[in-house]
Amino acid sequence: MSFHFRRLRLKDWLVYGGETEIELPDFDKGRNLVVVNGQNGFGKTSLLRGLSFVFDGRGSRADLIELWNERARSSKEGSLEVGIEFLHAGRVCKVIRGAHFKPWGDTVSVTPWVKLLIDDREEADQVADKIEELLPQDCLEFVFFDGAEISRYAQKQHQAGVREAIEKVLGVPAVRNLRHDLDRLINDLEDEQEGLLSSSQQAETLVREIEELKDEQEKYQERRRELVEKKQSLEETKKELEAEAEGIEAIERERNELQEKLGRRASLGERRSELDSGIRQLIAETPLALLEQPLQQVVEELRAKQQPSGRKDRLVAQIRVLRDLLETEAEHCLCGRDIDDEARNKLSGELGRIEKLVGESQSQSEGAMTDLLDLSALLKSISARKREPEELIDKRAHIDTQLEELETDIARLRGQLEGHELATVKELYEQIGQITRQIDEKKDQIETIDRNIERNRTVLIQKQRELDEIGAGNEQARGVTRTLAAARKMLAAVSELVDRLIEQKRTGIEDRATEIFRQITNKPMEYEGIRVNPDYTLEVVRKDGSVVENTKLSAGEKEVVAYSFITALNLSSRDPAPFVMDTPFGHLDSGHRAGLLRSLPKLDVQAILLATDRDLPADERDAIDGSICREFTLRRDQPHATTAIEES
Amino acid sequence: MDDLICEVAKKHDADADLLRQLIDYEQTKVHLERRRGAKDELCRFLEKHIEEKDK
Repeated sequence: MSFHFRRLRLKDWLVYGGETEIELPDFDKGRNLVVVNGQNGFGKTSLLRGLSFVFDGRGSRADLIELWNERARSSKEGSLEVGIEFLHAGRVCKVIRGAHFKPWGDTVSVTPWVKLLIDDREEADQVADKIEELLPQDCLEFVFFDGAEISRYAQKQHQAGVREAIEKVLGVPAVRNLRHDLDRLINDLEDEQEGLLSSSQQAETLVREIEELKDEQEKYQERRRELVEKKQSLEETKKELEAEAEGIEAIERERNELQEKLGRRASLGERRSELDSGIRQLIAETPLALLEQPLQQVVEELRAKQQPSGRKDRLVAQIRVLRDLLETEAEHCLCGRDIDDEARNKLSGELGRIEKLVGESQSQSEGAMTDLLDLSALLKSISARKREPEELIDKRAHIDTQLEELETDIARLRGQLEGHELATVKELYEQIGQITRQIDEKKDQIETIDRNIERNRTVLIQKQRELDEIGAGNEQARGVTRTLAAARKMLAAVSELVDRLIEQKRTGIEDRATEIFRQITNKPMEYEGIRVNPDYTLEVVRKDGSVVENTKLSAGEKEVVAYSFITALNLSSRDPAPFVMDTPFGHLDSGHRAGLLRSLPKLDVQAILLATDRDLPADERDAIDGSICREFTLRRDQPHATTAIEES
Repeated sequence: MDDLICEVAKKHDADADLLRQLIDYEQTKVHLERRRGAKDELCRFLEKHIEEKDK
């Protein structure tokens, strides 16, 4: 049965005053979740710190006093205690750690203590080592963690010590230590063999030759290490340059975008100036609006005057009839009187006068018509201008908004383009070409050295066999020689095992991390999974095989990557430990959170989730109801400033 | 892990059970800063193995 917690007991520990104990059911796959609900400041982190304290135990006297419940501390005498019972490798283990406090002058004396019981038998010696063996301190951060821890891990993948901690979790150091110890043993045995065979001239020569070969081998190995480092550094530079070259195209696009935006800004600026002067002119013409009403009246009057134009036409027609009559030289008037020359002249004179009057009247009427048209146009223009200022101001405001957006875009683009002015794709590809040639040279050199190492190794083995044969014939040296031969075979096997094991573990973690990541990510159609590099740095790989730059991942996505890796790492260890997660959803959106919650029941370990109502809203909690084996609530007794854990 | 141990042991003509024993022994010491007597202990494992093979 897997490693899981069964009971937790706290006494005067941080916010937990008095004694508090909870029991947890045995691990049941699919119903592996223990939920502890609590508001901020009610004691979730105190619970997590309690678990770490049991397995870690590091801390100064002052730290221990700080961990002692505040109310209990006021009495200056008492004790704190955290105990945990768990099942590990089929054994019931209990680790209880605490400290006694007694007044000591003005201060308090602190006596820390720890107990380990395995199957109800108390371990008497090497207790710290035995606890370390159950759950190494270096691994604690991978099993007891909070949101902040995940965030930190998402940032610190490259820090020294992480690789060591990871390999410790995976059980690699034991094999690596074996390789180291076997190597030392072989050196001792070779010295012993050499001493025992010193009387033989042939053996002495062989020993000297072997030593020379070993020295040479060492030099080759050293040179190889240097070349590998240089090659790696060149490969990294090449990768950076390639990324930069890829970025150049994007930069070119950005540069064009900047030019286009600058052009647009200039044209909008011009348009804005035009609008500005239009608005100024309109403001200057505002008094014209006062004329609108009187003008309207004038126009209406003129229109009315234009109405009788039919009378004038009739008058003109009558004049024309009279003129025709006079010109036809009629002798009698229509009234019957005779028309003599004198009368004809008189009538002609009168007709001339009337024609003149009608002509004058027509000219006046045409002038009035022109005035009417002019005034109507002016009136129309004034009416139109009444609306124009508002439209122009609106247009100017719209242009101002566009200009503001353009300014932001221009500033952003200028920022992005800073320092990229001189780079060209051609120059970069020339550099990449040079570096590729250097990498190829290094590869060739490494291959040559590898051939030399292999040739030397064959000769070395041959010489050692010859020496062993001499040793086998020597009564005293026979035993040493046989042990040496067995140790050498073992060393060869262990050396290969270390490399293969690391690679196997790495790919194993990669597969598990990818599986978990895909359950949680909100971009399952875009992301293929997680790549775990040989130095345990992590990368997200897209469906098309390209890698997502770490800087392009959001804080939430980085946390999902880190969580997936931490979980996969624990599950790949020799004895996967229970997970205790304190509000692990720091930057996660609801989609990621739901994905993470769905992934928890699929884990092969007990998972204890310490959550606020924000971490685990009612609907999301209901969605995992079937996977919860036990649920607790932290109750705060505020008047007494203490917390108790109650089963929900 | 077990398959891997068998595979590399076979390849290098080493005994898989002995290799497993040595790894288990180192596992008990992995948390210690200094592995006192580890070299001698490994030597004893090897000698005992040779002895048993001779029987």
